[in-house]
Amino acid sequence: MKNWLDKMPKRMNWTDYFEKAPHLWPDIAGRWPGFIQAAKEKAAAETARKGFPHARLEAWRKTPLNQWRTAAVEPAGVSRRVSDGRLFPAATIHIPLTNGIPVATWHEENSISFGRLSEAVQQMPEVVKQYFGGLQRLSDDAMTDFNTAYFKDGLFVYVPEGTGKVRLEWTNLIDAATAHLWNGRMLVIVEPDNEVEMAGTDIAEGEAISIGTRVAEIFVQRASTFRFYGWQQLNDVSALVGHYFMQAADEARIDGFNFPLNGGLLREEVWADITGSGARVNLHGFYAPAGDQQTDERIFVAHGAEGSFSHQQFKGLIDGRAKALFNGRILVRPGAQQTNAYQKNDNILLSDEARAHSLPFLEIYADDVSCSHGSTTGSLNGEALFYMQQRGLAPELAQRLMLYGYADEVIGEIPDEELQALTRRLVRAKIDGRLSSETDIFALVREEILSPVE
Amino acid sequence: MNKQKPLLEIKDLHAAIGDKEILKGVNLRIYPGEVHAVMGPNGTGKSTLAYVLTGREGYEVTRGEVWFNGKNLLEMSPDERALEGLFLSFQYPVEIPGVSMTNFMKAAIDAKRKYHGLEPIKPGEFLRMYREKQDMLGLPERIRNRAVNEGFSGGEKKRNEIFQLAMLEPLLAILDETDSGLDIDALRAVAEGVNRLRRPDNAFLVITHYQRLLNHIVPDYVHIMHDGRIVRSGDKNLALELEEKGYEELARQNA
Ligand SMILES: Nc1ncnc2c1ncn2[C@@H]1O[C@H](COP(=O)(O)OP(=O)(O)OP(=O)(O)O)[C@@H](O)[C@H]1O
Ligand SMILES: [Mg+2]
Repeated sequence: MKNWLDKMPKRMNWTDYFEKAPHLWPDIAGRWPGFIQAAKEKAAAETARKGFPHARLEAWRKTPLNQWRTAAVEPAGVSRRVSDGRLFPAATIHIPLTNGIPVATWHEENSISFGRLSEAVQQMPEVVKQYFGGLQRLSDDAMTDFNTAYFKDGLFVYVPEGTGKVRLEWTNLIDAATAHLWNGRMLVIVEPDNEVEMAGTDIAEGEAISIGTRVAEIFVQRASTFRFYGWQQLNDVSALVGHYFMQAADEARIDGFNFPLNGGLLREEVWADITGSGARVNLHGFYAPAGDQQTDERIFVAHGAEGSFSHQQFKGLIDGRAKALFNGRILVRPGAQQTNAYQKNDNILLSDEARAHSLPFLEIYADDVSCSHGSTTGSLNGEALFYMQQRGLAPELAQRLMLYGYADEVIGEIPDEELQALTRRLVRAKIDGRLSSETDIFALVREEILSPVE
Repeated sequence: MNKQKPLLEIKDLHAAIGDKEILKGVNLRIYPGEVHAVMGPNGTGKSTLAYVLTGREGYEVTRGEVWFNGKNLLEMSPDERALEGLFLSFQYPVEIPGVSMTNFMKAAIDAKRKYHGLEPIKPGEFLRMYREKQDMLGLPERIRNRAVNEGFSGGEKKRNEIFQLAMLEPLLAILDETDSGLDIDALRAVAEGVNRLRRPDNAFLVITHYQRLLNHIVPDYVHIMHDGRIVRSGDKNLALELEEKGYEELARQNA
């Protein structure tokens, strides 16, 4: 087979990959069995048809991609670099990824199977066929089509019914030695009666531009709990646009925590599709973009069954010329009676040029429901600062304590105490301005283990 | 007359918020060991005086000077003033979500110790002191370890102010209407707390609308403030006279 490099320039603008998707994708994504091949073909056509997301689209209105639109990038090649950094001490399974693809090959461990998606289609073809692409259709964002067309491989995790407690962690090393584009994929199936905790860190090494997309599809079946933690530590010229689709069946529970640390654009879009009665979804996040960074949290919770519960708690601290977007949506489908859905977003602006956009959106098609949302955006409470100063605290210390406390309202919700402490260390470092994109977050966390802060 | 040096000396203090002059020439001298009460109608500048003394933003001192313990108070930042021993029990204490009372008090005590060249307080010693002072003021269990003032009732906030006063042991404490919003038991507890904290080297400036508090915390001097000035001063009997006649008549007598 002829290398695609022969046919096109080594690097292209991100936008060009959209236009050329129908021709380019097979060279970048490789060969796949029938149903995935078909999905890719269709997605490639959609990618070209929809084109690169523009500012007139509601979903991208507040997220200018100018800087990346014309960035010349090449598809991520095979990288041998691996990160063994870890943030989740309790995890017994650690899966290193490079540019979104598992480094090690297929594993079966205590009935759990995990590895590359390309292996999963060989090992458990029916399972992949049953679930692959099943949730992604919730969104019509061209980015998800783009990802589907171009992904080269991805992570597959399968937890069969009644396995019990599973704690796993992946660390995704984004090799930013040269300007590149990577597309990560995840398919996670949690069968009934399990408790799965998954922590994931994206970390870029190198100074070059990296543009990443991710589509994760996560199925949480009857009476199972799925808890996920995310941290992103990229350089300031890199972007990561992630879509996380989750389905909660009867009595299932999903808890999510996201902590964007550094990166030019860190955008996560979570779709929690509640299809089972009595399911519970709790999504939390704390973002603190500074300098020219931007964070986007787009959280969509759809209640489609009776007696389900959801809670969204997102807080931000925006400094410098940074921007933060929170777009929280609650959808109560017809018949989803006795839904309880809450949403709260708070933003503190630390500079005159910092911007926060809070866009709540409630769509309710059932009558017996209890829904609420609230959002605040303001500067640091000057009254409280004076109050603390009046007790002898220097203004910097007073501000720090207040901001720590503000972040702690999110961090304090993390059930695992160790994870809580490690996250606190990272977030406090970010608040103090000690955590830049050059910081080794794993070293910071080791400090926490050696000498904990209160 | 007291032979010591004054702890606080306010000379011809004028202060404005924007273009509006609020304090129009306040003079006051407080010696160690004394309790002064300031009374006066709403909006005459009592809280303004407290804020100007403690250095809150938004006030411009247009004339006059203030000396505290021999130092020029108006040149200091709010935290320096606190570290020098000035304390304000706020008329409206502020809620600070996410900051626990213990962390807050530990930080305040350590800041003070550092200012005086001391090591941070040992956690065990801190907790012992923390509990002891809460017991002394009969602080309800439910507010003992919460975020600062968060979800406290009005009265609980006021008690919590006096608890902080007890922890920090300032040289001069200004109590801005600490008695308003307190029930009778709380009032007694607060007053007892204050009386127990009285020492020959410290002083209190008590702003109140009611004679009632002054039955418990007996002042050496009572000042009546009107339209940004202290218009009359006397001993504790002035408060009784005021209760009887009201501001209008006293102001008329004064004129
Ligand atoms: N931020 C402000 N801007 C403009 N005027 C103000 C401001 N704060 C207070 N004032 C005015 O200053 C004057 C004095 O207010 P201050 O709060 O000192 O009165 P006070 O004697 O403490 O009253 P009270 O007994 O009601 O507590 C009032 O006329 C008030 O309206
Ligand atoms: Mg007042």
